[in-house]
Amino acid sequence: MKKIVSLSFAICTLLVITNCKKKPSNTVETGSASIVLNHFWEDSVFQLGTIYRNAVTSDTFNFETFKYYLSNVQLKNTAGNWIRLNDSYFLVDLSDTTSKNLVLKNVPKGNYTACSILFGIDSLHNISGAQTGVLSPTNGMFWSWNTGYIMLKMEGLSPNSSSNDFAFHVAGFEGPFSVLHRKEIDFDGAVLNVSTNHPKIVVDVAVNELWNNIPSLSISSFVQSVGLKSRDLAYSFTNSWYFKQLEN
Amino acid sequence: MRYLFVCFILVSIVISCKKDLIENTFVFNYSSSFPTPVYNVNEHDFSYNKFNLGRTLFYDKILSVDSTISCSSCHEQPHAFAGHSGAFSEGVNGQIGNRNSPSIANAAWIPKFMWDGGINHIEVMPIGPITNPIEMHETIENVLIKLKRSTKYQTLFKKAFGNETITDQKMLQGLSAFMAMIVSDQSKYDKVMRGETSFSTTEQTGFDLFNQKCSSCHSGPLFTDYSFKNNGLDQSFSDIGRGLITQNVLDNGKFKTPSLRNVELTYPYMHDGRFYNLTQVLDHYSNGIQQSSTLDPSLQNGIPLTSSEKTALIAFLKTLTDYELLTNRWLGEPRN
Repeated sequence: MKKIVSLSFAICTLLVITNCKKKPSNTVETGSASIVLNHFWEDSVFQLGTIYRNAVTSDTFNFETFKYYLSNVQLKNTAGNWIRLNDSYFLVDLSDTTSKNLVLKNVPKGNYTACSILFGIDSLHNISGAQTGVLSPTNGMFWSWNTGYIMLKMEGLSPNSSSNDFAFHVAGFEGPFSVLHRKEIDFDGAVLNVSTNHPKIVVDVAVNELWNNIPSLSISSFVQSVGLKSRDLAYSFTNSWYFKQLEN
Repeated sequence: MRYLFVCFILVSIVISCKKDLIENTFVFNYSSSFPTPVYNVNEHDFSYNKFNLGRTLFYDKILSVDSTISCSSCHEQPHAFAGHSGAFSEGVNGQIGNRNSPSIANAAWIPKFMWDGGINHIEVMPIGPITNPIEMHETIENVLIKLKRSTKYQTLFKKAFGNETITDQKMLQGLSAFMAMIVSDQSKYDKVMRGETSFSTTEQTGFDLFNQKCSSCHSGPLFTDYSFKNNGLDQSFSDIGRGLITQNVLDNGKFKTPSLRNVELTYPYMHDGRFYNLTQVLDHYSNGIQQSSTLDPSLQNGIPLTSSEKTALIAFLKTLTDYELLTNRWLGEPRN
């Protein structure tokens, strides 16, 4: 008798489980949006291969590389909840204009008042072995000797550096020198409406402000390890971002 | 004549079946005394074909910039997959590295790779030596270009992953499948532990001494706790080791405790290969410890050992040699 009871109980449970599975899941209708990044050096558009002057140190320099990783984008809906967007990993490379337009896919349709972005790659993807696509080590943003993704890579030439060049590789994802920062960008009361359109969040990046916090290249022109310098640069970089406007 | 014929039939059956047999019965197996591996091979859809891709890559000089060295150049099977060309291994163009290439046996259990633990996952480990200018000095991009050109690799990748697309991720997962299979758990020590044989009197004395004096760091069935320690080699450090990775001065002069499995064959010893035999190593611990700020507290006074104790310890350490690992032809260079 006991056996029959437990057997029927098991069958019932099974039926419930299979039944549950068959029910169509609540499919959320999704749309898309973009975060458009405009880089500036003071009042002019920032670009590679151009000579800039640091107003604080009077150094002059010419960027050959300016690349950075952004990931784990979230959007805040009008109810105040943060919606995480899966697979949002982006490599912004100033030598590739299309990379400055971060396309957010599978965004649940609705209204949003803010977004938040992780500067760098989350620690999970730094410890999980070989990745591919935007996270492939072939993108030149991966440290092979001290595993981890570079968050920001800036390289170029400067007469103020004793070696005539500079290289800042801002990296480190764990411990006291983690460079990972999450930045919240509030839309200043505006509402991002995601439906069948493809709205844009326009952000200005004031590269000169990041460089205002870099001592003269005559003192130090290389950062290629984890540490305070990397961490401070990362912090300055997130602070050089400004919400500009929404284009619904 | 009839016997010969039967033999011929049998041999043909064996030859034709062997490959299928290997492919179907291929499993990642290890001693029940070992802990759960860090690299969960089952999560990675382990298969003979992935292993075979990795094995081919491991022995292929295509991974180096000028096709002069392969992984096996510095991780040789006869030396339990450690380097043997000298204290430091030779990279392309005869360049000499600055650290001794260690055994990669039991790699699936290693939580952090390299002497300084800078690499945190078996799959990204090969990127280090492939791209290091003083090792293989190649780029991953270029390796992929070379692999894509090769019909042999097109076939191997297709067999391993079901399609011909060659990516860095697949290459690294293949290499990891091979490295994970380099399991050393068939030494005399293992057989003694399983009750299949017994230690000689000297070996037993050595084993007892080992448990008293060495096993706090070289602990467990893998003979390492994988911690980073300064074992008193120098008063000042020309190579700061772990400190380079953590940027913490308290880690300067610290290196990973190596496994002692197959230690008889993995000479020279220490991160810089300064000791060429086990006697020198024991002499160091007994009366060669150098004081420095990060010296491990357990070594402040060294580990005093008499010469007969050293003899016994060495006899025990030699029971950690796994001759099956050295001769396992599935881990050797592929013949085709």
